[in-house]
Amino acid sequence: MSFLEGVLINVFILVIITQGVYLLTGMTGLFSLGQAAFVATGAYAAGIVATRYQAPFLLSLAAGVVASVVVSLVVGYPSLKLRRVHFSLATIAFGYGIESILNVSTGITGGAIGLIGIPNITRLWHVLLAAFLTIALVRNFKLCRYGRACVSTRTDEVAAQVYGVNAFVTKEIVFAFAAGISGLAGGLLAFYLGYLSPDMFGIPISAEYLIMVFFGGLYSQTGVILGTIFLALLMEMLRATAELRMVLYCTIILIFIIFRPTGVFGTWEFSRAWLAGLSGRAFGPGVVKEGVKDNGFKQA
Amino acid sequence: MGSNRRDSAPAFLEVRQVEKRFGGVLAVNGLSFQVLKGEIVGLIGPNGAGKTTVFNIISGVTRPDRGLVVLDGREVQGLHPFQIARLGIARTFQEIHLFKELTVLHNVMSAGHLRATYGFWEGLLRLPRVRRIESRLAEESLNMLSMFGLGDVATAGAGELPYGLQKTLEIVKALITRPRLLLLDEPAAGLNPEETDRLKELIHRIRDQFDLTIIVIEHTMDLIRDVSDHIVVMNFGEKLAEGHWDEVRCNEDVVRCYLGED
Repeated sequence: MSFLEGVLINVFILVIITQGVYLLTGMTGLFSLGQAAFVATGAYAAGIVATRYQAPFLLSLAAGVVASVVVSLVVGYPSLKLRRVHFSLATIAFGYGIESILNVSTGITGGAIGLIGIPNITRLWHVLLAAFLTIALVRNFKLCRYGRACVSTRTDEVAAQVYGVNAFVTKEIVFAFAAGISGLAGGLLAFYLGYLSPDMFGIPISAEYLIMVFFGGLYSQTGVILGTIFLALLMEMLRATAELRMVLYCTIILIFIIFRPTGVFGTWEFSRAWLAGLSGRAFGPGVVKEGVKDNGFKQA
Repeated sequence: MGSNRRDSAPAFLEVRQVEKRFGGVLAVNGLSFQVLKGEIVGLIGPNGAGKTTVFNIISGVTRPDRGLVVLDGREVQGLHPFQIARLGIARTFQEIHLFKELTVLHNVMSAGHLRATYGFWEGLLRLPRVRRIESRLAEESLNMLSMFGLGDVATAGAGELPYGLQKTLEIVKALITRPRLLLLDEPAAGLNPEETDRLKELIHRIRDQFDLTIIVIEHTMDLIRDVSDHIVVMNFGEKLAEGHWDEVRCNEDVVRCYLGED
């Protein structure tokens, strides 16, 4: 595997993960600071079934997704009843919890030493395919009534409920969906790296996902994808600057956030209409324009 | 709608002995009244009389401490708002609750959540059926917006609309849910006399066109006079009087505690 392929695998695994964060934070307004824990759950589940039971690649990935979704349902049920900040605090607790569980259960996960011997299977085309599917599903979700329910819940939960939206179930759906996406990314990561250790999935990693989402544009799926690619590549390129790397990385992000608080792309969405040069002024999280276009309506 | 009909016909909505306490304050105290199918009932009373709390209880936003709310023979008190929405009760808010950062059309389509009848997986895969339902909902939303004079601003941001149009949009959003009972909380607040006259017409028109039963909270007395078949007067959480405009207007208690004040 070439160096470039390795870099791109990392980049597109991040693209997959931030699609989940976009669903949670961008569309639904839930700030999860423990999203890396779901990546960990997926990665470890896939790695464990692959190393212990010699499960094939696809089956292991599926196990990762299922494990992540199951954990999200268990964690989501109590924590999604909490209000905004309290929910975020709960996800921090969850993030630390998973990290400690992985550290402590030495017999299953290898503890702090890590889980080793996972076969190196993931290639770039696997990751690209997975990223493409994830992006397509997230786009469809955003355009359907459940996507609109997320946005209404974020904007005005009381009003959303009055229009028949079960806000709690909506949050559970989106939390589980995001966890499934993270689980898939985790599985791909496990089969790419070949080993896993708990410190790869701490709270700072979760915070980094959030930064990528904010950087590109919290309310723009396009922005989240491009922002993630840009920041992930930037991180790689700054490797040359050694110790200064984090300083430069943070400075660049700060400059962008100060001058574009809504993210580089704001609420702009890539669409066929835009390609055709028809796009007018963008408004709202882009859902509307696309929704209208896809419903066969011409816009003036 | 004379009082004869009120005595004999079964109630479409019945509020029975409803009580709600916030801390030490009895916001609603043993309130009972009935609404017949197809009626427009005015709910009036001084500020703080508990009118909006009654709406919150009927629409499930607030749970009553005691008492029943019966819609078409079914007890609905204590249900969640989204469950009550499914039973056909829609409402507008006194303080506008639009999704301000979304476009007007997107607001209506979001409110049409229950009208888009497909499941999660269908939506995720965007099956042809989903596309069909979505385009029907968009079409109906646009039609409804045109019907209420909002057709031209469908792609504008809801928060950018002038106040009067925001109020109309709230009504359109309630109507897209195809309710049986519509609760209007101070629809005329902040409107000028012309707009208020148009609103009176609109309330009658939607009642007839959408086969609605309507309860309206209002401080604008000439609107209440012109649209209400029946009026319930509240004061300090209790029912002070009820009846037709002429009966209520002459009621001494009402005159003293409310109408006289203005």
